[in-house]
Amino acid sequence: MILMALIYAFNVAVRSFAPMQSARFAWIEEACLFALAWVVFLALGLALERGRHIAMTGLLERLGPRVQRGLRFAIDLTGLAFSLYIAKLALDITLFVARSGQASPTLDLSMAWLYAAMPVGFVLLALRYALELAALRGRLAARAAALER
Amino acid sequence: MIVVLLCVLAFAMLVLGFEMLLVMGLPAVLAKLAFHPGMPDVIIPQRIMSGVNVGTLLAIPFFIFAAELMARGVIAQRLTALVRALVGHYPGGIGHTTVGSCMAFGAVCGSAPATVAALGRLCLPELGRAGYSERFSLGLIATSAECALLIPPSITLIIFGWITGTSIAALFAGGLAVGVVLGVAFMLLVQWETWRVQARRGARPAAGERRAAAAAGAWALGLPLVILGGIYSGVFTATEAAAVAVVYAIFVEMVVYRAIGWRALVRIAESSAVAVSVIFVLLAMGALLSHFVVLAQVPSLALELVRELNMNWVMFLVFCNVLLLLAGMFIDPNSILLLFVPTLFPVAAALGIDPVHFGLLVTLNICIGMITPPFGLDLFVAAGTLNRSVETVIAGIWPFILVNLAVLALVTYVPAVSTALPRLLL
Repeated sequence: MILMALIYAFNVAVRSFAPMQSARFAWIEEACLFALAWVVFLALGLALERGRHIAMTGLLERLGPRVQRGLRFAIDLTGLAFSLYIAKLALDITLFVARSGQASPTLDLSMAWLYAAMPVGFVLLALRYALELAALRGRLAARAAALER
Repeated sequence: MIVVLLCVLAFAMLVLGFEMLLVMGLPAVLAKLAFHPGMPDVIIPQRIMSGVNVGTLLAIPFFIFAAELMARGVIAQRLTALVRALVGHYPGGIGHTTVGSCMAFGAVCGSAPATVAALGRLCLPELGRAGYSERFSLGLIATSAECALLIPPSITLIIFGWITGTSIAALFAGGLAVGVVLGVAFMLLVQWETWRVQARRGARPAAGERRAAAAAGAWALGLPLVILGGIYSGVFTATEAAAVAVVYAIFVEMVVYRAIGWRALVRIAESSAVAVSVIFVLLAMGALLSHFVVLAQVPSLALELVRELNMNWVMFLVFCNVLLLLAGMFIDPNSILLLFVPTLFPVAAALGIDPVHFGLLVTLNICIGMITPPFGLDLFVAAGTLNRSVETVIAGIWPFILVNLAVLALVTYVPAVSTALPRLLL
């Protein structure tokens, strides 16, 4: 499901920049930026699942298995708390902007549509962190697999 | 006191392998709660969005998408084949081909790992056949790929331009100049090694073969021409050039070469989306962090310190070199920019250092840090993708690091190396 949303969002980006060369209207840039925000925040969770988020794991990988387990637990817990907190603040600002009716300069679309990407994305990220916590099927393994490919 | 605690916390999180977005985001949020409890909380999501919702940065997703297209398709191979057909039979030709094609491809693609994966596997066996030692070949590939960070269209330079408000076209022109200097330096080293090991020349291609390679590579060659020509002739902005590059790459790979089908296109779009997200979440968190760094008046404190120590611009740049080289060994390029540049750049500006000069110095330092043992990230990437031990890669990298440092010294003391071309072009 995340996947479909992602591809859809990216297709929107792909389609929207094609006319860029023929008619450089200001609204295209704005539409692209909206699409970009959605792509960025929607793919947060997917990137975590694939072990693609940047982290300096050199030391972590060299520690003993028990210390490693403990540390990963701490990392996942921090990640979960952080993403939930940001998601809550992002939801606040989305609702605030929606109420204030602030509209984008050229598209005349409510700015809430832009901000809405953030709570959705961070909730997905929090879900991913929660899954990692529950299953402990570490993303370190995913990262190692990605490097080998 | 709390500032020091936060720095220690961030450093500990970094070393222990926390995701970079947490390393930047959590201290920023804590700083907000500790120092500015009265400030409305909405400032946090607002700052985060301000790292994403920026027109200048729109070039990055397009360049990433174009690069993935080229790496999965055949544009990269055609370009290498063309370079080989042109210079492969000169003394040291195979080595020069490696330098040229790795830098060219790395430039359009902007990712050293992708370059090593796409071209390293092609070049390594050929270098061996020509008689170069494995250590030298590995070092050559890792180094040439890494320096791609300097050559336009470089994502690193776009991000530097965004943080500091420097013209991206000027940074690109300066990067091109420094990149060429580096390329020439590597080629001299290759020439010396060729003479030392008496490497064999490649076979002289038949006239028809060359024409065939040129014909096959013509469409691929169009891509760098469109990007650079478009930007400097003033037809496009960097962002528009990036978007055009995507459309051009899709057209060439799907219609002209028929190397990519619809399903592959969707898969490439998806993996680019993940790559884009990974970079932009750092930019977003970096925007949040630098907001509080500036609020805490860290840059002006740093400037005061520099004034007190009576540093002139050369001393300051040498200090930056040491700091960034060390950082470059551990931290990825984009994070370094976001962590250090907001503090260092105001000081550099106050000392009268040209922004383009400073940007290239920072980028070159990051490049060198990435290949410096024992922690340089790209040593591990090269070892991993090419299936060699890290020790072998490290054994071969030293001469290249020396050359790199020589170029760094040149770039540091002679600002004209980086600033002459932008002045001429713009």
